[in-house]
Amino acid sequence: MAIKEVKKFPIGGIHLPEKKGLTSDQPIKIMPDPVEVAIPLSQHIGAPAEPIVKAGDKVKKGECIAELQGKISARVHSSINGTVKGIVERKMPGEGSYQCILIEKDKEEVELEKEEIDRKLLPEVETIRKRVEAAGIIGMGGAGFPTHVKLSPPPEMEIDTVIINGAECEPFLTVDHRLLLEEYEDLFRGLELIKKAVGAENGIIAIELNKKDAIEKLQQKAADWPGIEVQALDTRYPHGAEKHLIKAVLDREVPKGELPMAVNVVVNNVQTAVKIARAVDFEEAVIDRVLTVSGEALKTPSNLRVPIGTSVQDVVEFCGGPKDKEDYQIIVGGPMTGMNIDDWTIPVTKGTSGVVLITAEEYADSETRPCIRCGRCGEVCPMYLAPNRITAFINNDLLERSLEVGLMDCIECGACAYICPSKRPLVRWLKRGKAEHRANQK
Amino acid sequence: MANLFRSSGPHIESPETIETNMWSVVIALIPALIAGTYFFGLYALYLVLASALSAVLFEKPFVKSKATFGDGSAFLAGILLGLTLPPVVPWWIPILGGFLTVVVGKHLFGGLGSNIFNPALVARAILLLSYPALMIEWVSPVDGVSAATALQLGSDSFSYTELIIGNVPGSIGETSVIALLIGGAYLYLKDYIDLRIPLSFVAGAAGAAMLFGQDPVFAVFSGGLIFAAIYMATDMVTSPVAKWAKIVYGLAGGFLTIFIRRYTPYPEGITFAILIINGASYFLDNAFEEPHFGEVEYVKKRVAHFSAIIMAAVLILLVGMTLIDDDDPYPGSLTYNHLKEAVPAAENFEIIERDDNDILFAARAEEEIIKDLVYISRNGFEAPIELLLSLEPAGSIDKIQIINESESPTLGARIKDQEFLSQFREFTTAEADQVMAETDMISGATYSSQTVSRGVQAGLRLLIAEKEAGLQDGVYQGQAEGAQGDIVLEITVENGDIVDLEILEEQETEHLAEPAYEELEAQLLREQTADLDVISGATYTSEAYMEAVQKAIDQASPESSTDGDFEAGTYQGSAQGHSGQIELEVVVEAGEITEIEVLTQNETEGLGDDAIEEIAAQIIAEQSLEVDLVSGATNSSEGTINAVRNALDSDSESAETDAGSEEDSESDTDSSATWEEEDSEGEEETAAEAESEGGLINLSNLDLEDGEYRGSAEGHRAPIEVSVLVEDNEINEIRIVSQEESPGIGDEAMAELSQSLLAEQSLEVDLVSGATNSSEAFLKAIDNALTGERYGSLEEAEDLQTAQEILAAEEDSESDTDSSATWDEESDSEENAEETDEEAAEGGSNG
Ligand code: SF4
Ligand code: SF4
Repeated sequence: MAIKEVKKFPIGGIHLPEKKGLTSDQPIKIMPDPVEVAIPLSQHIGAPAEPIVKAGDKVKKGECIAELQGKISARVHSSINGTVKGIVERKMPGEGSYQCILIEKDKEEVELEKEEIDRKLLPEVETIRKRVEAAGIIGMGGAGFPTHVKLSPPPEMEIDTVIINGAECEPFLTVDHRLLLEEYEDLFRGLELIKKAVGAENGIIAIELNKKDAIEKLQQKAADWPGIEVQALDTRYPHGAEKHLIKAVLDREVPKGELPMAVNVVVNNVQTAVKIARAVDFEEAVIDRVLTVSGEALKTPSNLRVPIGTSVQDVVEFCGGPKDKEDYQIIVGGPMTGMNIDDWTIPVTKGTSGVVLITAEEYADSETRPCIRCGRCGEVCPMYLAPNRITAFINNDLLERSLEVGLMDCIECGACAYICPSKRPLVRWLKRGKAEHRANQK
Repeated sequence: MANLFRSSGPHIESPETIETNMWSVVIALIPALIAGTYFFGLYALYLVLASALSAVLFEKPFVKSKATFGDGSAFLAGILLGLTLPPVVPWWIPILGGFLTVVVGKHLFGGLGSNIFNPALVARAILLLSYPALMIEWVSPVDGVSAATALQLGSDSFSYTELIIGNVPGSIGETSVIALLIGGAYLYLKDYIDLRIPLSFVAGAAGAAMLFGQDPVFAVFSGGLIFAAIYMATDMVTSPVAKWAKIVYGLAGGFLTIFIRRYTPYPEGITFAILIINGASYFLDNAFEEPHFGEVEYVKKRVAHFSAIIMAAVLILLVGMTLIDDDDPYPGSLTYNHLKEAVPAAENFEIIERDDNDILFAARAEEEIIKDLVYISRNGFEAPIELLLSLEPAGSIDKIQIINESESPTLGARIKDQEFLSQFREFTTAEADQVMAETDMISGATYSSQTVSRGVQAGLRLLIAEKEAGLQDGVYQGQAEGAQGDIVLEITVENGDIVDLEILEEQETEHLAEPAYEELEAQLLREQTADLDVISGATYTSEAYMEAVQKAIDQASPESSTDGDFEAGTYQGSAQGHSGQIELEVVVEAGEITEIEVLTQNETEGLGDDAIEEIAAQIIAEQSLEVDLVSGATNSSEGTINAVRNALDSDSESAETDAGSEEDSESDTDSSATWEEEDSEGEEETAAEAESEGGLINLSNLDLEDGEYRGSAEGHRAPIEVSVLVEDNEINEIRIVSQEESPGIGDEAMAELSQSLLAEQSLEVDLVSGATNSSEAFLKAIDNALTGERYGSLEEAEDLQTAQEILAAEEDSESDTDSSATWDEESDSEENAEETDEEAAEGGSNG
């Protein structure tokens, strides 16, 4: 079937070298449980979960080990069968650290029994939310917003459309691509459940054109799911940014400082939708996630299903480790918005979409040079900002001025820093400016 | 700078670097460089390379980079500067330029990215101001001889094709529009250029050109505008970043360029225009901050931007209009208010005739001409004396006003006294020739008062010329060579107006020529002159058409003369230049000016003297005094033109009478080309009212055989010898064979006297005050001539005249040009009319 209409957001954005070919044809492999997992209590936005186990407790795969605390929070479950060793601290990508429940794997394997459910039935809205909450689902694209909250919009908000974000615009990452191809049944079901939960009429699965096979396959399958469409998007970074996805698909512009709800839309990640389907129909908790382990510096790039809490080291070693023991840089997440890490013990969380090993040569660390005012940063900025000016204000201690020209509107997509011919670390400066502003506000 | 966010992304970067940016622009400039080398020779290429290498070299101390050419920005700036240089500058100019570019233009401002002004243009501006003569020396790509650029010559100088290809005089890299566009296309395809600035720059320039009544296509294709739009205005560091800011920046730049070209002595307005808008970049970026994604005021902001631009445009338009208003129709200090003051009842003032700065207006009320106004400007001591005459339709002066003068406050300024001015009242057009003779000059301010009365006379003559210019009814043909062959056409004159035009023969390209013909015919019938606007796209055809029309009109003119060429001979003339008199010798052969030799001049070296040469060359090339002034040396240019004009005037007044008999006669050595020095008598100048000398022969009952009579009388310093031609018992012409009166006083007095004498056919004329002795001596000489023996026949006198003139000119280059001139009223006025015609014809082909 030919792809009919291709949409895109109107201004800004860039074409990136995709490098997705490394893993796009590799079916999802299941990584065996590691000997030890460190499961962070705060993988989401909001209050950290409250541990309900103590050192020495035996826990089973899928058992809840930390309860939510407050309204915006998410449960945490054990991803393996094992024994709780206690609370440990693990570094986070970037600054800061996680409090983690450390679990050591037991010898014996225990099968989780599953209850068969009639998938034709649509449960009550409340049931859906309850089960999503119980499963500890959060936005799995990286944002980490607790999904049960997202599925309970304030009653005055009319939601008419649910969009599944299958853009996956970061280079290297092919998680969503593989899920679209392999788990589309769960995806459609998940979307149906989300629609039901928020009372929306339309469901749209938006996929970038670089995943042509997925678009074609889903367009076929969508015939069986009334009220669900598949929308092709042009390949352009950052289509995966929520606001730009909405702009592209529906041509609605989320007003400054507001959520997608303001334009009657809810956006969910592909994997989130899959998890919702599993949670509602089979009461499965989020104990693992699919991520892409890739990069030119890695021996065997793969798409892996990894238990939450597995260390990056275990993941990379499972994929054969770096080609050259010296020449690599590890990035957690995609190369545009992810974090460069130097600690192997950092655990995989629900929001970890990939681990990328790139060579030192590929790695962007060119010398910072003076701004030549070429204006490319502004041209590619999807938020229509002028990053050169904002950062000039930040670097000259004119935070006020930088706020006036839109510092807080920046979505940190990195398009500006990527394109800058003077290799200026614009995003790092922008982040610093935002942090300073937040500190000032307190 | 320490950063807490070292580990954040993006972790990949685009292959774009400063280098790729700079070198792409350099690559894009290669076609222009090739074109420049092709048209102007290898030397041009060396100049550009010298500039680029010098820039790179001078940058070395400022940068750490190990790369031979640094980041390419210095090399690029050097190339840009090199391409804007004239192709014949001395070798050290680009080297100095390279230094100025990187050191002054760039690193004094803090290096790449911190410079506010385009470094190449900073250098160019400095060079332009420091070495004006070198920086505006252009050569023709065809033969390498010095030539004027398209901008200097005006919109008809080169065809669009020539401008696009670039085989026209100009800066090395700026002439070939096509080469520049190829480079631009390359940049566009490789996404190194945002078209907002180039397009709006061109649009701004075209708009301004239209506003100023110029040909927009020409304005855009000439003077390096395309080069500037694509490569100079777009310099990233110095241009704004915001999208709307770019558009405003471009528009402003284009507009300013044309504005500067028009209103300042720098015809290449680009440099200064771009430097000015560079300065506005930061402000523009602030003013045109884009609305951000999701901003609710989004639409409002857009509207605000739009209206800001439109308001600015309207403002510029208004300013432009007013500028045009008081610049264009009114020269000097003349304003509309002066006209209105002179004729308060008039509703409008239409320019009927314009001859240089002299203008004839018709003051109308209810469609009726109620007054004729004549504005005349004549050189006074310091500044021009500007007169405004108001005349009754019948032709008598009813008001005279001096609207501007800067004569000496004690004496010269008395020309404004009513006592003096009032004597001009009552003069009518019929008495134009008596004005000089019948005016009482102000003693001690003879020069100033003479200037005024000469102005009044010129004013009256302008009116006469206009009244008489009416064409004689009939059908006349004209013919000229068009682009493909001869164009023959026929005009029909009825009641003095051209009422119809018919093309009898032509072979022009039909689809181009047809609409041009229609347009031109409409113009002709409307404006009644061959001086029409060239139709773009059909320049040659239009010009030929006008030429043919002019020829037809010439035939229809009452004083139709087959050609308005110059009389053969060698003439001298002088005029005030920038510093002192410029004295020239003009050689006319076979009706054409063949040589102009500078006898004395005192102009600024390297500027003024070059200007004289340049102007002289132009005059010879164009056989016209309507040449472009050399910018930066206007005074010298004008002085040169005036000197040539004076020389030619002296010519036509003397040689006009009957140019027919050119057959040789033995030159009479008896002619008083010998100049005997005699002691001057130390005469004191008195303005005493001179009584008419008694005892002079009464001309009214003259009974003499036709022929030449000679006589002399003791003048101020030496004898004045005159030759009087008598025909039918009337004095036909008075020639001065020799004299040594004070230049500017005595000789002028004699000139005046001869005029009055010829007009009145009486020796009872008023003496010229301030020159009584000369006047008396002159009259006495005439008296002696007429009472003496007949000297020779009229024919002989003719031949002698020519021989004498040549002799006099050769023998004594210091002698006053007027010394052997004669005054003949008929030829004088004829000459005037002819000159007007000639100028009209010149104007026609110059557009
Ligand atoms: S990181 Fe911020 S400033 Fe840079 S392009 Fe993205 S949104 Fe614009
Ligand atoms: S892309 Fe880089 S060099 Fe260009 S304007 Fe932005 S910050 Fe300056």
